[in-house]
Amino acid sequence: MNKKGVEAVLGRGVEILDEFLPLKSWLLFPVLYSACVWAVRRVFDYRDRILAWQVWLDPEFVRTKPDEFVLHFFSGDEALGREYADELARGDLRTLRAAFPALYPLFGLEDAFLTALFKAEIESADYRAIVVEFAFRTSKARDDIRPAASNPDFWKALELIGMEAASLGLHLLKDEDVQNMIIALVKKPAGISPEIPPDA
Amino acid sequence: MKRKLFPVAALARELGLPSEKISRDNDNQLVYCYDRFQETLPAAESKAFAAAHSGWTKKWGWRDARTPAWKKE
Repeated sequence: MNKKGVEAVLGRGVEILDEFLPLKSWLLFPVLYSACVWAVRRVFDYRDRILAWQVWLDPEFVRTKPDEFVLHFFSGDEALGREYADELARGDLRTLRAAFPALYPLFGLEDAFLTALFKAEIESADYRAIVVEFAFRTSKARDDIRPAASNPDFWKALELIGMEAASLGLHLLKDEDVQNMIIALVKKPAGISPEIPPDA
Repeated sequence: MKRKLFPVAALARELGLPSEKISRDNDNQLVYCYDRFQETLPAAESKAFAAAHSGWTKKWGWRDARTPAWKKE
């Protein structure tokens, strides 16, 4: 596995995607991270995979879930079970159902884009902040990604970045390492790319 | 209700679902049914169900009866 090579590819990816998502967009991290996740799984329908989280913004999908399924989701997840222990104990389905649309796509479906979008809250185990922020942040993400998402070159670029990173052994890196690598690259001042090692 | 839910979810998985997300949701429903059946079915039925479920999940490449391949370890 060529970690420096992967970093160099992702660094170039940040530069390229910067042209589609202007000025160090906050969406660079979730887009590039989800592209990495799908690259490891060797899929080529990046557009559908990366935008799939939008399906869960339709309230109809979660409205039809039975109460028992909602309870099973919260009690089956260790961290959520702890956070919502009081609500579970008193059977407060109103609160649990209100939190479910935000937390289920993240922890039940493990959506890569949303995981990146709420990385700070997940790391600090601030699950209630995710619930509060979810509608606003996902709505803003949907609006902000729209111009790039309608450009076929954007998806072509993402696919090439993902394929190249995968060919260098991206799958051998931990999720956490990939996330931190991308965040560091996105935060780098413009014009300072990681050096491309000779064997990359 | 749950008795109907399981075969529907299993059939949906066999037939293929239109998107990855819908497919993951379907897998979560299968796990939910599995847990509920384990809790509620009489011992003999529960054992027979677990054996059948194990056959399906092996075919689908799950790591165990409750863990689809896409779930983080």
